[in-house]
Amino acid sequence: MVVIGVGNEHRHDDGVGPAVADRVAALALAGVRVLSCPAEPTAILDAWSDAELAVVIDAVLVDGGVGGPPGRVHVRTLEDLAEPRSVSSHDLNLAQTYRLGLALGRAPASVTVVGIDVADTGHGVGLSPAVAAALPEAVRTVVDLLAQQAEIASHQQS
Amino acid sequence: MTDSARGSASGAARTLRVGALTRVEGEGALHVEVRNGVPEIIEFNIYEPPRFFEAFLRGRMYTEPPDLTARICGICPVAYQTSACNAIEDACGVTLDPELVALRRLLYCGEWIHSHALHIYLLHAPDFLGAPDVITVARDHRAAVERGLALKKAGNRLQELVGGRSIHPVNVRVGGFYSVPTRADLKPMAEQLRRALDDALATVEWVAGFEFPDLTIDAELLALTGDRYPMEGGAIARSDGPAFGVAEFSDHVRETHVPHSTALHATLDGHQHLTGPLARYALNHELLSPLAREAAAAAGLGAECRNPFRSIIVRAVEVVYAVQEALRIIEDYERPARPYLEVEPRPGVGHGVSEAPRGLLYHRYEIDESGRIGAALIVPPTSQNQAAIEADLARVVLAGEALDDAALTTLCERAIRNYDPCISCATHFLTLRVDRR
Repeated sequence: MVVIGVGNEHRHDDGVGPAVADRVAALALAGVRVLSCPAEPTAILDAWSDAELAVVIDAVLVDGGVGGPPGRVHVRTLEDLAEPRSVSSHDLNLAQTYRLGLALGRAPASVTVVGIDVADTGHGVGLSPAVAAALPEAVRTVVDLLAQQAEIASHQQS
Repeated sequence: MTDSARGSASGAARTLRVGALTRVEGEGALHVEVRNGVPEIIEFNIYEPPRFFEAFLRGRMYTEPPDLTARICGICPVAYQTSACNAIEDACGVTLDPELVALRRLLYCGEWIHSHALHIYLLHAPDFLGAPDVITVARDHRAAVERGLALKKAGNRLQELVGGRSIHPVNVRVGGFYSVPTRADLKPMAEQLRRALDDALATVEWVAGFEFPDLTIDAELLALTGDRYPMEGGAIARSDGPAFGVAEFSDHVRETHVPHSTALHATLDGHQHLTGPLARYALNHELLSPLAREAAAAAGLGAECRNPFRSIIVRAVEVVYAVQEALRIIEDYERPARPYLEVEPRPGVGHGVSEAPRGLLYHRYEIDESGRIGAALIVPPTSQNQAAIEADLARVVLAGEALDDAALTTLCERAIRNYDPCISCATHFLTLRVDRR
């Protein structure tokens, strides 16, 4: 299983993905690889090619940043999300990397997205209070998803 | 992507527009007006970040440009770091130990391998295979795309090893590096590079099989040269005129504003010029390794190549060279006695150049006695190549008179992608609008 935190810690709440990934990494769960984006596509493909489950953690802008309560944690599939605006003209974004992985036979068996609604993606470091407060719930959500997958895998083996 | 490409070439006058896009790395746009088959307006427009960097570098300390200017480009940060270091070390009268220069060149090899592999496989090859993107290419050419990703990974790994991380390396400083690897650190890299050499040779063979539209550039060629194929430094060479010193760069290469662009256009002694792989290859072909020269010859390249569509072959040959060069440096590597030289500030002006994957990158800094920067000038290859790109577009439009708007717009986009990864990927995402009058 692999956990990928997506985001830029220098854009305030956009750093929530890597922040959650760091906390999951600190748990040192057996059989779980953790990485943070921006990572280039070959690193992501290598990390998840043989994974049963990839959990992607990303900041979610609701209606351009207004409307959703910041800090809400929700679980989606990759297909639920709109094609994100590319943040770099130089590489593939995560959705494109996933599609490339499918074409190369190097996509994980399943991908689940843990989204955290955010408030402030302006320049600067540090999460806004509501988003920082959501970190424990987001970490729990990721760990639960990993535990469910581990349980499914153990049933399949037995 | 064409959201409106209608009609044919039957009208006497037509306008092709490639509309603006908002991207972190800048904006590209294209405006072509043709009357009776003759291109009257060819405007290629890029908005580039470097001009802002030049302004906010003023007042910063002389030690800061390597880290600050690395942020100009996510794909060639090493080029910015190297030209910045070269310029500041020049201003301060410092010459680096040869072992540190070799390490700088090794880092630069990583950037070339990664950048060229990205451009060849992810950005440029789809044009020759009739595919919209690399994901589509991967469905029919899986082994080729895997090979490209493996090459790119080798380049990234080399940048991580020497530069501390693959994007915007953090280990580079004025005078050398913060820390230097041991021979043992580099050993696994050599194994990865030996595999990469096979991939690089297969890449030359692969791209040599593509079909290339006819196009010949007549711009003067400008590149560095030296004892070795140029990367981390060198002397300035040109195809048509007498060479000049790095300190005279601004006397010869002048940037001017053009009304249709916020990016600066540059000329060489008042004339259009070209920098980048085609210029490097033409002016330094004999400095390539025997294996790279053999691969070039087998791919049909002569002593020079003036068809920009074939620049993909030149890049592939340069990857072969960069992999071999990295292996050579690792083989000869002795850990430098000191990771960096102490560089004391002294008042003056420094000039620095290096060969970014896209071409010659010039930096100039004025420093005062305390090391504070009074003025900075950065001339990237992209701004130097804009006029040549517009000339290519004019030729493509003239030759493509019989094509319908959609086909002609596609060919114009390809002509742009021949040059520069930044522009190439920007134009991959352009929204096009084609108007006929």
